[in-house]
Amino acid sequence: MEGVFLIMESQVMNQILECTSCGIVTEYKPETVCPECFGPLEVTYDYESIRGRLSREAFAARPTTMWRYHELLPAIDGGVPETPVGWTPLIKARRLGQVLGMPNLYIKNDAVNFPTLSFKDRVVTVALAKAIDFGFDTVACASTGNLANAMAAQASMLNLSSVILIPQDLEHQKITATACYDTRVVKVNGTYDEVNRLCSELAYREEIGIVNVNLRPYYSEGSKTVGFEIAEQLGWRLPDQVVVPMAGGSLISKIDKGFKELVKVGLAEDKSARIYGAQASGCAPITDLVKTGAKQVTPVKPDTLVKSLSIGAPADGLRASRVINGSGGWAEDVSDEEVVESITLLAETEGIFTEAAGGVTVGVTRKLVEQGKLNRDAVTVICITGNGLKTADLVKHRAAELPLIEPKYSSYSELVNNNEEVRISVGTI
Amino acid sequence: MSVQFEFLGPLKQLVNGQDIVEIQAATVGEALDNMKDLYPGISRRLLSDEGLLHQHINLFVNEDDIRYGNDLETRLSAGDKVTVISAIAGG
Repeated sequence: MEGVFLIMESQVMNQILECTSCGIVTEYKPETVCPECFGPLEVTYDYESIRGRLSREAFAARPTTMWRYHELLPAIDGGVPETPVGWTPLIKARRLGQVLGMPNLYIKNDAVNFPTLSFKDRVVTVALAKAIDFGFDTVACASTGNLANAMAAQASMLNLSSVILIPQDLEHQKITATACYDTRVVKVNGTYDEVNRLCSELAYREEIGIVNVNLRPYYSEGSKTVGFEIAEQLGWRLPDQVVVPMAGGSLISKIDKGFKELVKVGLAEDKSARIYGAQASGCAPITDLVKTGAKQVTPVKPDTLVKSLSIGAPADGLRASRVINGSGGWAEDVSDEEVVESITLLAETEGIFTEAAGGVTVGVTRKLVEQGKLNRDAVTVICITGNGLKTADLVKHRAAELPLIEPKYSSYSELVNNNEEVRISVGTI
Repeated sequence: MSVQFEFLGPLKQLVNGQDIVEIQAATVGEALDNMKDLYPGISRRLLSDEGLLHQHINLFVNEDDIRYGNDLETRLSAGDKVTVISAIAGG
C-alpha cells in the first residue's frame, strides 16, 4: 500500500508460530490457538540470525518509531508500516521519586503515544499490517476503550472497514473518541468478558480479522516494543524493576519477552529485570494468582472504576503470574480511591495526566515501596499506558468549585495575593 | 436430560467437525465424561491430568462461564446450550 508501508531491506522472514503451551510449530496464518492443544500461539524468531545482523550503532539511523525494531516484530509482506507509533518518552521522575523515596525512578509515558494516546496504538499497528497481509478488508475487536480508539483511528488511516464491540458501560470519552472515526461502534449489553466471547465467535463465523482473536499472535507482539524502548532509552540497559498494569496479562508478559529477546540478540547485557504487576482491587484475578500461587486463574466479576483493566477472566493471567514470580517480582492492587489519589499525585509531581490504569500503576508502586517489595534505590520504570483525557471524569472534582473573579486586577489581587477565596459565584463543570 | 454442546472454531475437530452434539447428562463434568467414548481424546484435550478444565478453554452454560459457578459440577437442565470455545486475549 503506497505511502503507508515502507519497504526495508533487512526484513526477517524466517519466523514461526509456536504454541506456548505444548510447543507445536505452525505456519503463519490468521489463527490464535494451537491446532493440537488449543493453547495460545506466539511468534518466535531466528535469534541467532538476528544477532549476527544487528548492532546498537545501527539504531542511530533508524526512524524513531516502534518499527525501528522490525527484525523482532512479525514480518509484514507489504513492508514496514510508516505510521509513527511508539518511541514515547522515558523520563526521569525526580519529583515523584522524591515523594516515593526512589531516586532512580523513571516513567515510560505511553499517555502520549501516537495516534490515540495509549500503548494500544502499538499492538494495533502490527495487527492491521498483518490483516492486510492476510487479505482481510474488515477488521474488528472487543475493547475496554483504548483498543477501540486505536483500532478506529488506524483502520481509518488504512481505509479498512472496522467494527468495534464495546461493553455498554465504558467511559463516554472513550466511546466518543472512537465513534468520531470512520468505524462502526457496537455497544453490547454485557461485561468485557462477554463482549470478548462474542468476538471470538465472530472470528469463526465471519471472514473478519479480529485483532485480539485471530490476529492475536501478531497483535500482542507490538507490546514488546515498550520493553525494547525502555532498554534502549536507558542506554541499552534493562531496568532493575518495572511496574506494569495488568488487564488480560499480555502487556506484562510481552515486556518480559522483549527484555529477554534483547539479551538473546546481544543488544542488552544479560541480566534479569524484576517484573511487578498492578491491578485494581475490584478486578484483581492475576494479583490473586501471584499471591496464592494457584494453578489457574479464578475469574472475577469486575467491580471498579478502572474500566480499561476490567477483565475478569484474563487469558494471559497464568503466564503473567509465572513471569512475575519467575522474575522475583510481585503484584498488588489498589482501591478506586487510591487510583484517583495516584492520578493527581502523578499530575502534580510530573505533569503527566494519566487515565485510571496509570493511577493503578502509580498507586501500586507506592504500595509496593511501603511494603518493602520494591527496592527504593534500584533503577525502576513504571509504565503509564494511557492518557487522562480518556477518563477525565474520575478527577472532575478537582475543578468542581473554582473561584470566579471580575476581570479587574483588584479582584485578582484580592483573591491571589491576599490568599483569600473571593467567590463571587461558583463555576461547576 | 438432553443438552446441546456447541464447539466453536478449531474445537470442532474434537467432535468430528460437528457444530452441535446432543448429550445426556446432569452436570457439565458428566457430559464430558459421557462424550469420551463417542469422541476419543476429548477428555485429554479439554481437561488437565488433575481433571480441571484447561486454562485456555472456556465453557459456557447458556451465557454463563462455568468458572463463575460450580465449574464442572455445574448442573444442566433440559434444553440448556453449552458452548465450548478457546480463551482469548483482552484489550
